Amino acid sequence: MTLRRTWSLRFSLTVLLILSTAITFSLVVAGLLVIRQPQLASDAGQALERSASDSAARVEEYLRTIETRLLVAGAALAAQGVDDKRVLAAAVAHDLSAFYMLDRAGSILAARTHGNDPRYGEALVGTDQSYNPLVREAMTTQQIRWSDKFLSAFTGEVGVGVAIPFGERLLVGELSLDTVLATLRSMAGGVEIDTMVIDRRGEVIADTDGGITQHAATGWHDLPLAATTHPADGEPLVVEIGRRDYYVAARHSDALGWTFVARAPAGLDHPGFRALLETVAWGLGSAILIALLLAPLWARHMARPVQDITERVSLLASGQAPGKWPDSSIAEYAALAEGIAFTEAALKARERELSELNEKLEARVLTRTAALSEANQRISAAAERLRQTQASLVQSEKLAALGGLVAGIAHELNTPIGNGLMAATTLCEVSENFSIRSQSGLTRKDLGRYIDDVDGAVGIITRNLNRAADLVASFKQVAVDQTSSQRREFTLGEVLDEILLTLQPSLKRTEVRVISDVPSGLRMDSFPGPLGQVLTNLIMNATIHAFDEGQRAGTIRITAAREHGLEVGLQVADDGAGITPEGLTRIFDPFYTTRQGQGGSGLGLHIVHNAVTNILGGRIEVSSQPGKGSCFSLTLPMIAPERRGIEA
Amino acid sequence: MPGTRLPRLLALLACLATLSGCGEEAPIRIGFVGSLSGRGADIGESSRKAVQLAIEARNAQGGIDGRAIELLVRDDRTSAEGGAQAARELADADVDLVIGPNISAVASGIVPVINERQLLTISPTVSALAFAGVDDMFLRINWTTRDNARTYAQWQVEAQARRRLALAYDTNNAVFSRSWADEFARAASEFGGEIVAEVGLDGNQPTGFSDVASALLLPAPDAVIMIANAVDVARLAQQLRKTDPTVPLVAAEWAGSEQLIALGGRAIEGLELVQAYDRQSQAPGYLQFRQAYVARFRDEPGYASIAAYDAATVALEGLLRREGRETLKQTIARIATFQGLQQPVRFDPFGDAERKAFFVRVRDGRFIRE
Repeated sequence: MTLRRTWSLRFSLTVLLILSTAITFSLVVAGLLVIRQPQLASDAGQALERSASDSAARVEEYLRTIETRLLVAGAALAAQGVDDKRVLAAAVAHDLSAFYMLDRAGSILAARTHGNDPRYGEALVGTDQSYNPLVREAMTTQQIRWSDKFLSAFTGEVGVGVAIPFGERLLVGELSLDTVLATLRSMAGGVEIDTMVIDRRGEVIADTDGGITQHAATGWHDLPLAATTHPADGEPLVVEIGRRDYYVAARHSDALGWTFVARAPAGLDHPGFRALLETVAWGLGSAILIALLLAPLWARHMARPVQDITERVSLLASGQAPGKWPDSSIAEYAALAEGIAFTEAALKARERELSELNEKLEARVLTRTAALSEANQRISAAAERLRQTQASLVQSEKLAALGGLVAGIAHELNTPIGNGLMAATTLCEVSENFSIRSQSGLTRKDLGRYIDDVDGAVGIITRNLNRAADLVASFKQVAVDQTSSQRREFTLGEVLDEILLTLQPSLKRTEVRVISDVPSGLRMDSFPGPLGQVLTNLIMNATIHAFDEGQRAGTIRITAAREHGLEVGLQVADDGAGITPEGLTRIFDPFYTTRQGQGGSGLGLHIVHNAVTNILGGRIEVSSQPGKGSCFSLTLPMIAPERRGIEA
Repeated sequence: MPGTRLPRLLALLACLATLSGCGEEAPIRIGFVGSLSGRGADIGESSRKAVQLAIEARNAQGGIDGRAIELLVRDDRTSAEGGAQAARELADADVDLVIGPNISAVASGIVPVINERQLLTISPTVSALAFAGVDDMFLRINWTTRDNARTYAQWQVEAQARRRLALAYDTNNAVFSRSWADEFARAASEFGGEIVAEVGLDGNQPTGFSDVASALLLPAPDAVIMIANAVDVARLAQQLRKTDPTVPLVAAEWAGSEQLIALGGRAIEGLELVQAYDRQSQAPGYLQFRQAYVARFRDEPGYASIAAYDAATVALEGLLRREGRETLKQTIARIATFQGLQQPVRFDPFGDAERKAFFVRVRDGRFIRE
């Protein structure tokens, strides 16, 4: 995740103000420059044109005065009675560096150089100048001729000269380059305009800025041709001299054969453009400076209300009193402050309402909690009583069952014991009769009858006492199982037989027949007591409910089979009255009974369900069709799980 | 032209805006020192023009490794001080090397400056013995006065049997002319000649040379030897011819510029010189150069032009072939031999190069090889 940089409003506003000032100004300036630059260039071109023309005109005019002076001197020299020396001296008195007159053959007739002894000139008389190009040209053309830059044999200096045919003679004047330059300089060329004079060969005769000719890489000789071909109204020609661009304009002087070139720095270096740039730079600088000064103040002014509002909002958010909301002259800020103030009021009102509501709610919750807790206590007490009641009921049920059992046992023992007693009583009577007869003499017949009677009685007594002993042993096992709930290995058939035996007295009085169809050898490692109780309850339940207290005839069939794995399936089925669908859903619930008020506790099947699921670790299901009978199906593990505790 | 203004202006503004330099690669600067005013201007100008031509040609071929060459020209005003000042200015302007000067008197002002500033300088024409055989920053591609004066002496005394010789020498370039005169006198006597007159020549004296001419002709010499620039030789020849139309006139090679003829007129007809180049050479390089020179300057190249062009060739080739951290002097020493316009330029370990000698005579206003 990238961190987003956040700027303060004040900083943003400052930057915005400065940037917008600078950009606006720059765009305006760029536009201005783009528009102005060609105009400036064109103006510069026209100024240069004027300057070149003016320079040419001025120099031509000046050189014409020299020509005139030479002609005057020539005329004076030709005239009789004039002092030649004075004429010559006057000719070179000012600006001419040398003056000489030649004959047709090119020999010097008279000569004088500026600043030298007259003898120097006299020594030149008779020397040959016919190979001098200027002399040759003037003689050939018979016209006034101004030379290119040349090295003078008389002055030993580089200069220019003019040759004027004068009858049979030739007048030659030489000028130093400084003289030409001085004339050129006397012209006010204008701002940063320099002028140069170039001879026919492209050599610089004079330049108002001599330094530039030190950059010799530029071919000045190419300039006149190029400069005269530039468009008159467009931008001037640009040439590069010494790594700088210059606007140039040229004017060729036909009279002199020289070209006058005016130049001014081009582009950025052009004074007009530079002045414009300077103005613009000052403007830009001032604008940015003002922006720099104003922007923070303005930004502060703009940011202050927002900061105030922000501070108050955070106070508000932290629950403190924000105080008075700032008032701003800026409509949006004022509206914002007003809006937030309104929101604050609404928030406070809402807060009050909420806190009132909250208080009421808390009071109600307290009331309800107290009521609930009271009810809970009551329920807990009731549940406790219920549990106690249930336990005592279960206990009394167990006691009732035990009572039934005892009654059964008593009844069962009654018969053999009664039979034995009766046989013993009979034996007593027989023995008394025998004793009486023995006194009256005994017959063999009497003795034999007595022995038979004793044998018969003893046999009866023995049989019945054995029978009683068997019964007691069985009862003892059942009683031990029922009371101890001990775990042991047993055979299902044996346990069932013992239970049926104990139930025999009860069932005997009924029309119900119990058929046991349990395979022998179904061994289990389980709790025979609870199992017996389950079977007893199921059989007695069927007798009471299915067969109307045993008044109706019917059959209870008990079947068992080993099922898959280590489980035994045990069914107790009857062909009695059956159970209603409503009864089927609630049959294992405690206290559910169809015989309310007739002695049913409603706990019998509940105890069965608990014993099967909790103690034996099995399952019990019931199915029934009203009028056709019911069937309780038990699925019991052959090895019962470890007991988790004895319950009901 | 107006169409290209706007983009240029925008580029300019962009440069201004980013305040970044947008200049092209700085040019290589070569300085030229020569006499562009005064009596030596003929030689100075023709040297300057030749150097300019060489540099323009090089620039047209892309300069040195894409960098243009800029030529800075300085006038030495034919004086040692002027030369020293010009050399200092050029050193300050950061030139890579200097071509020039022409005259030994100027060289004596320049050499200490360029040695101090370690600024390599190649002189096309300086020949005074004082500058030969020194391993410094000053390279010469001319013979020495000793060789040259000996060639003259042999030619005049031995070949043409002129035994009585009058000498005029320029006192303003004494480094050269005095040395030349002494060497000539020594060689001439070796060949059986004799100096019958020896007159100093001061071009600046305001009276002309008629008295000098008289002094030279007084012993009726077999020939007059003039050791001076073209202007003074022309003027002296004019004076000599006024008095003696027949005496053979001989000028040292210094005077042999194209201006000599214009200046001397008929007075120098028959004048004899020894020159370091062959005006009638048919070497293609020379012919091409001559054609370009005439077209460019509407003037004939002189001996100083040839020498200066060769000096420029040495300079440019040195700059082109400079390797790694080599100094220009090391490069030139490594190359050693350069192809000149008419003859190879070979530097000895002292940076001196020899020239061949050609004997010429002025006939009908032209220098003609003997």
